[in-house]
Amino acid sequence: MPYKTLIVEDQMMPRQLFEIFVKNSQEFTHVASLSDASLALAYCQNLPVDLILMDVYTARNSSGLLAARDIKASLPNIKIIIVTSLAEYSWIERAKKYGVDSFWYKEANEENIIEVMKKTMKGEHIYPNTTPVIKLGNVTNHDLTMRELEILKEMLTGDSNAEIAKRLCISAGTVKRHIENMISKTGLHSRTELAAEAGRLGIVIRDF
Amino acid sequence: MRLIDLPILGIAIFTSIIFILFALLFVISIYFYRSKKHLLFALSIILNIPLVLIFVCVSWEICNNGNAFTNLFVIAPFYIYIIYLVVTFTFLVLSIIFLQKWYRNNITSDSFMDAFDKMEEGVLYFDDDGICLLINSSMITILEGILSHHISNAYDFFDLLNNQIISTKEGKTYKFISSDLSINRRELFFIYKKINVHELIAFDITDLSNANKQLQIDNEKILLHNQSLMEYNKNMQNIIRNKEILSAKIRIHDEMNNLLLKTSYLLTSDDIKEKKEILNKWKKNILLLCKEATSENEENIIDDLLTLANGVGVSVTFHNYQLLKNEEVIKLFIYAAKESILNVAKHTKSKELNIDVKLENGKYCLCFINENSLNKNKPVSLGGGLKELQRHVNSLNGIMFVESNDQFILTIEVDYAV
Repeated sequence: MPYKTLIVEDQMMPRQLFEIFVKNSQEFTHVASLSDASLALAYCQNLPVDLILMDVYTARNSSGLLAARDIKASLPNIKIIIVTSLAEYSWIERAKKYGVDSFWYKEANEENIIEVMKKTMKGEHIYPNTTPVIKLGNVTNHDLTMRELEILKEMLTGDSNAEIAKRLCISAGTVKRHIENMISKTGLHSRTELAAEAGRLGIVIRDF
Repeated sequence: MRLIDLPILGIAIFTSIIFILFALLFVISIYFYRSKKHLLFALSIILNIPLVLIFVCVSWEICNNGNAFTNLFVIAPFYIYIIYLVVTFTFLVLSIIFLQKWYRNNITSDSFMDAFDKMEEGVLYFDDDGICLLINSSMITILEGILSHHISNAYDFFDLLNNQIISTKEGKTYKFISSDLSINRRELFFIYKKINVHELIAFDITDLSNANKQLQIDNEKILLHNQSLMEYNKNMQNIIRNKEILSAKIRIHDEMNNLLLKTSYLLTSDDIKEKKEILNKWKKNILLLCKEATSENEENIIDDLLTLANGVGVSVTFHNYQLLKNEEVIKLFIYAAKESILNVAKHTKSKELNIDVKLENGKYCLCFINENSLNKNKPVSLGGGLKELQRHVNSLNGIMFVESNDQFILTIEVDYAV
């Protein structure tokens, strides 16, 4: 019996791509598509779903990760595959923490996604080893440490070093030092340029 | 009658008077010395001399012309007086030396006055009538800088203090603090009178004020930077979305290119299976290209709700949802619609839901109506989803009504601009 698949993706192109892939597969059947992750739980609670292809960034800034967490908490039997094209550093760890079954970076290759879906339904957990490599100034996102990425994410709020330090429970001096290190590594000219560029490239996203 | 003819008592009285005068002069000279009234002190010392002369002359007359008994009343006091003079003058000299040393090594009222004048803060004390009782030189300078003249009555200046911070023309800034005291003022000798004294203290806060102004300027700059960063952040979300769309399109076109290459190769091949596969892929890609050609529609907020409603078997009719523009209200609307759809599916016979949006008097009115309520005329208890919905409505300062008569009606009112 084909697995009932729910697609949660707000962008029309990728959504239709997934719909075509699923419809072409004999092992999976497409039950519905939603653009807003906040409705996914309600749908799963009232209708039979076996597998969800969940985007992270959905309509009206609804978080696919948080929706996945809620669904896994109340309906643990439903398999969830997080799909994204963005290289945000923290999503993989968060997905694992929430019990998401698999994590996949979007490609056009149909075989890959179907393979991931099959393996996931068999009970495997498919996670990439690392995020995609994205150039940031003179270095790549992989050249930044976890703490630097955390601080970079907080910088998107536009808050001061003291406020960032308070949220991360470190000193303002440490924040300042990390920012200076990042500016030095990347060769960018200011913290504003650093934050803007990192956000534009999707290395860090101020999310939900 | 000559002095020497006076009786003994008279001589005794005379001698006593002289001694009392000497003692008085002594006390007065000490007082003048303590009060630093040097001229009066010197005068009091000099006044001893005529007294001495008077006494010596009288004594001489008495001694020359009196008998031994009467002489006793002048000779003895005369010697006593000499001893007294020696002792007192010695005491005076020693006191002068001691007091000089003492004043140098101890804090006295003069020290307080010196320190008072040397204070950087301006201090002014005045009474209820505004008369200055005590003012230091710093305060005089400050007031001259503010008013450009001396003050005759402290209230003239005090009334100017609408705010406590005043700047002078030289660019100095002072903060004034006033308080009230009650003191006992000596009116005469040991007579004291309680009076109200008003204290005014001026602090120089020029550096602090300048630093504050600079900080304000810097803060405004930072705010502007932050605002532009937040704007940039918002725009980035759109860029991310567009980037995803573009990536998908690129992938489709890449796939297309690969297909073209494979097709050109397979045209010369006899492999039927591969040709069928390529044809299927062409079908898929053409389908994708057709969809790519259609414009990306604006998000339709009701599509997902219709998907959910269809799934649970509820027929939903939307009216005027296009009026919703505020992002927070749209989120509330979707949540309320979701709860209404699920409630209709679970709790009512008639699986129909009408959802109406109105804009009246600057408020959105969202109405969710089901024609057939199961709990007719019974009070509606908010549980689970409706309770959460109530909390959501409250967070936007809206109000929510639930009626369950022949119809089940959920009404939410919320401001247009939340």
